Amino acid sequence: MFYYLTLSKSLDIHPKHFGPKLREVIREKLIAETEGTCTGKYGYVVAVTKVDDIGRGRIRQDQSGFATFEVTYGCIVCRPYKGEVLDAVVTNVNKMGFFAQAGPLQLFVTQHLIPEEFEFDSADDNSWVSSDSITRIQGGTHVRVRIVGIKYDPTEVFCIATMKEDYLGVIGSDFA
Amino acid sequence: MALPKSEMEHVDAKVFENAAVISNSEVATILSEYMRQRREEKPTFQPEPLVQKTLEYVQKFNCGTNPEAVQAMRNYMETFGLKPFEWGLIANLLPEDTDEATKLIPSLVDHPDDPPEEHRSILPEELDRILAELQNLRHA
Repeated sequence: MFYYLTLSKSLDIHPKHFGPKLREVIREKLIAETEGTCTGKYGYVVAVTKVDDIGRGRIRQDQSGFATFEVTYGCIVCRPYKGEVLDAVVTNVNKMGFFAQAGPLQLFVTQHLIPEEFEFDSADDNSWVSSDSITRIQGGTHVRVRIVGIKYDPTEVFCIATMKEDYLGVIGSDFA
Repeated sequence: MALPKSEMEHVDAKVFENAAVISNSEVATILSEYMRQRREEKPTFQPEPLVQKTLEYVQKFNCGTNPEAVQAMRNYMETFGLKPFEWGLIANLLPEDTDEATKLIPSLVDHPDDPPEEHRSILPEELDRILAELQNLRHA
């Protein structure tokens, strides 16, 4: 799910930027260092929307000349939690299950968490086909899944999800 | 509440205490506006691949592209004592009836283990009405 959070970060700025454009440089550096990244604590930072406050710079004592600024900023993050139901697009299918993408998040649905009526079909593109051959899970299919396990690495969030519950499953396709 | 009670223990409470939940439609509006601004500042702006992927995702899976309709839906939900993360989930998933809503969002049902003051006693008929009204607002 997406949230608007207020976070803070320490940035080191080289003395060559200590001029009239300092605030812009700090903002650009903040965006470059946080946007598109992920932390286990706050999930994926999708966009830095506002810089609330830039603290007074402290010159580092290590003779480098850099100054450290404490920046408080508002941003949109994507942080999933265990038990959350969400929609995703299938990206990759193999006989162990399939990978899906929900915005910045990658999920894996293992074969054990796919309803029994689906079978793996390795013809053409890999896909999972239902026993009545009407429903097909392949690249571009839209699925609704529930997250059952999340691994929060320092730089990545990876989820395992299930499709084996009521109201979960295929909900459409990119090609419909 | 930005997260279900069991999850709040695992996160940085200070930060998530004041977190605002944003539904996919709202993210779509905010992100497109944000990209437009960045392009104005710098015509050669190239969004990070992750941000681009997120924008495509929320444009595909949302509850409507009209910001006023989404705002009306949000205001309507807030009058029923639904927690912020529940409103976010309902907006993203758009369940059609009470059964679907309670299966997808278990916290909507009062759990006997929870202390009585947290019980909201939302009747199934009420929930059906709320969901039907949301569909109206969405297409208004």
